[in-house]
Amino acid sequence: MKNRRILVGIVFGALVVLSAFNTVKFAKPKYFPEPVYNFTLNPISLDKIELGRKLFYDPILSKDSSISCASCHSPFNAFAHTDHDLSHGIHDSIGTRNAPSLVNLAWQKSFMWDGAINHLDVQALAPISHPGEMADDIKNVAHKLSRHQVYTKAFSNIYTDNKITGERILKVMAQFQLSLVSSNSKYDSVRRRQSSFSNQELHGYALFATHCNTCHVEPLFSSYEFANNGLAIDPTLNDYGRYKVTKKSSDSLLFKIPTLRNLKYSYPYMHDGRFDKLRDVLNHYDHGIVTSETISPILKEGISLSSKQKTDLIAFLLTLNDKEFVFNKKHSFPSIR
Amino acid sequence: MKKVAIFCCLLFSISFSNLQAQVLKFDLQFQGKSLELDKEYILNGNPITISKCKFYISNIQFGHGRKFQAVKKMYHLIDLEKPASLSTPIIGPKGYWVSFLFDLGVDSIRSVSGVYGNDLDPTNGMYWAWQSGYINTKIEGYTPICPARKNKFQFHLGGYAYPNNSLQKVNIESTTLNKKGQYVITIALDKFFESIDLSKEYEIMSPSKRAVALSKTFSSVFQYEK
Ligand code: HEC
Ligand code: HEC
Repeated sequence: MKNRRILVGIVFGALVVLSAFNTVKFAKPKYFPEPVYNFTLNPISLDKIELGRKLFYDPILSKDSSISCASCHSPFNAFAHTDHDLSHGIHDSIGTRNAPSLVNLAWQKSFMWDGAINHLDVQALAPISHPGEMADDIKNVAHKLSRHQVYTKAFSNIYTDNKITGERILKVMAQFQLSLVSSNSKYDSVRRRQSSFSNQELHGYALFATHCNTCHVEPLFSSYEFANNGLAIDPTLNDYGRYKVTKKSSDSLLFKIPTLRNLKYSYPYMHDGRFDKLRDVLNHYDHGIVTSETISPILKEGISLSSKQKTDLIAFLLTLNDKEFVFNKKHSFPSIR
Repeated sequence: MKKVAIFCCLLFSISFSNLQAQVLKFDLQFQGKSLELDKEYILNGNPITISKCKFYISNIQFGHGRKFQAVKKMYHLIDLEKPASLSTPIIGPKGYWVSFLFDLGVDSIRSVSGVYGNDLDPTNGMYWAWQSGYINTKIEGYTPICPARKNKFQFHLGGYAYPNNSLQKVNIESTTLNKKGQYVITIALDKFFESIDLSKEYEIMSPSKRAVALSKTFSSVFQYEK
């Protein structure tokens, strides 16, 4: 009897140790600021990341099981979408915005080009409910998952009461997306003193520091604030960005400043995907700026760049590509079990 | 079922403390009688049916006059479709209370802190998808004077950010002292509709000035009696 109790104690202790082992601390690169995401409300565990990954790649989340999150956020495009400027959704109805790449989300204060979503946990509700995107809703998703053994098993491994709730689905999906940290570009290795920039890259870096870093703040390459960078409004879309959320005229045409990491993989660029090439982007800043009431004061006059300067700047921007991130098997399509 | 179990546990654990188990009941009424969903009523000469009525109550405090004591912070989704939700067990300070103070809606801190479970779980259909935030109150139904598709009116009232914060503080008082530990709050939904011209206003689906105004109206039809 006593032995048995000891045995139970040992087994229980081992389980506690094991489960503690499975919760991991979010790994922050040293030179990154503190993440914005509050991990105490959703402690990271490898099992949850893995389950979130499964959901991210599973078209079961859409009404007719035709598209998954990865249809628009492909790992090979740094989790952006490249086929079309405006992401295709269910029944091929076209959304009105370009799918942004999903990296370093733990540092973002708000989500979507206009910041309409205030927390990563609740972001997935938007594609799951948007008629043009996945056209389903979270209650139905929870119901569908509860009829699949893979999922009932995976959830019961994590949650002892076996329940598949909206909260849990969203939290594990957030965990997978939080694990998408890109910090292995050449720029990062220079920051870690493991390599050094070429002369051309150094010139580009200096230009970047002068002209771009106010908004695209390193090392995340965004302040995640909103700005009007002088894009002419597309009359077929009439997208006024942040204004749609706040209804303040001072927010008209402001969009969330995107990161510049992984641009090689995440084209086309801007909220509507109007530019295919980095040179187009630089030409825009050089001579394409359209001024309006809300234009950012630092861009009013445009950023005058010679052809050589553009080449140097692009050379620097290319040091932000993180091949290891893009081809990391840990975030790619999960193996079928 | 789960709620009952939790309630029993709480009952047990508080029986020796200064707290007391009590029940807050919500009685949705139409023209003086308990409201029935999907039943046709006549309001100002026009037929009207209510198909949905759900709202959040949180931050409940018990009081005597202006002195209030807080109860453990909980969020309760009151949903006419789920009769059990109309009786909310609450653990409050011992005593007989003549007034209540509570929030009609979900506060802004909760609204910006990610996803929550139970009554706040987004599967309850009370969370906006395309712009973050809880729907504090959802009232839907039909009336032939409403020009929308299928004559359906939909009021999804919410919004946590200035200037369209629709959360309402409700402070209600009874003239009589209740000694049974059961408190009934009546909500005269017909009075809410009397302030709206459904032929002109029939759809609110996002935070706005009108959402705030209608939230205020809705909060004004709450009453605490015996
Ligand atoms: C049909 C294409 C499509 C699908 C499917 C899709 N998304 Fe998106 N995603 C987009 C677009 C377009 C945006 C930008 C929307 C906006 O700004 O209004 C976006 C934005 C996001 C963002 C915000 C990123 C940022 O930097 O602000 C996240 C996070 C995200 N999606 C995650 C997901 C998840 C998780 C799923 C699956 C549940 C998913 N997406 C499914 C197209 C899609
Ligand atoms: C005033 C702030 C500001 C400054 C300064 C600025 N940008 Fe931007 N940048 C933005 C905003 C805002 C967007 C998104 C605009 C949109 O899509 O509507 C953007 C978008 C971009 C994009 C597209 C990224 C993508 O994934 O779609 C690139 C590339 C870019 N900027 C590069 C630069 C470079 C290089 C400089 C310096 C020469 C620079 N920016 C200066 C605010 C700024």
